[in-house]
Amino acid sequence: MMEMIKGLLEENGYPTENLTEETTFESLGVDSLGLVDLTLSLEQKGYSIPEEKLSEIKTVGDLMRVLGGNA
Amino acid sequence: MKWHLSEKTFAVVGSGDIGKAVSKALEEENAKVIMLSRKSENYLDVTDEESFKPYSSWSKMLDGLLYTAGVTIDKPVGLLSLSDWMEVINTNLTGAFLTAKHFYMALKPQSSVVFLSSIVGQWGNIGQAAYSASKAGLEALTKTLAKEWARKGIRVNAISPGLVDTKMTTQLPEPVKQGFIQHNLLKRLAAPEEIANAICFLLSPLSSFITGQNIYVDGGFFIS
Repeated sequence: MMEMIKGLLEENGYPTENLTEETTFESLGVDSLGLVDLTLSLEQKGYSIPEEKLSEIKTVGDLMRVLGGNA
Repeated sequence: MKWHLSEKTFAVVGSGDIGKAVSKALEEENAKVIMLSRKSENYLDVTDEESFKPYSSWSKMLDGLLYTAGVTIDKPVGLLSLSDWMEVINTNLTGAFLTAKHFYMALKPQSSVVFLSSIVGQWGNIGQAAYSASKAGLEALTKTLAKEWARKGIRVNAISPGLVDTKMTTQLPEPVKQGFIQHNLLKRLAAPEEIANAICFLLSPLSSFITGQNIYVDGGFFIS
């Protein structure tokens, strides 16, 4: 799951050095519109993120949990 | 190659005369054109969100997107039914929103989106409440998308033609058509190709610093 998220961030032009579950999206420069872009990319990969969960996603670990991965 | 569009890929939504003129111009540039409409091989009904599904997997493959789908039902407001109103709004405005929403992921960074608006979006016109409102909405949609998508270098603009020599124009009563012709400075209708030229410019890298704009291609109608 971490590798997939790392790839996703790279595809969207964000830095991925030293990425951990605690890394915040804010620290990577991902703002609310950027998070929407990541969500849309995930949808194209077959994942679904309920809109109401978006505001809960602050860190990489949060996204892993929402996607049902092992955080 | 006038517009530097060789080998680039464009989606054109709508099968009207202006869409066809743009497609022809793009193909002359050796660009690839994907026509999307209810009449095209690539079926798309812009009023039906389900019909966008086959295109949801497209990813970063379009250098440009043109939305030309539009209808008009011309009646004074007192005679305009809710059904008439919704038909025009659904095609001209809601269809544009759905197209933007569902083709966003198909757009490459630095690509260009153009919506076909109309001078009546700013000017208003007797008998065209729904059409005018839909085009005014389209202009607001254009500005909003320009702001949201600039982060990816995607430019979003609108073109507002005056009266163009198309099938839609033939439905107008002759006095109305003549009124439009006399009101513009050049005293004639535009040819679809003249609108296509402006659209190709906006789709091309030649307009690389233009976004969020609504450009009038109206023979001077608006300032007359």
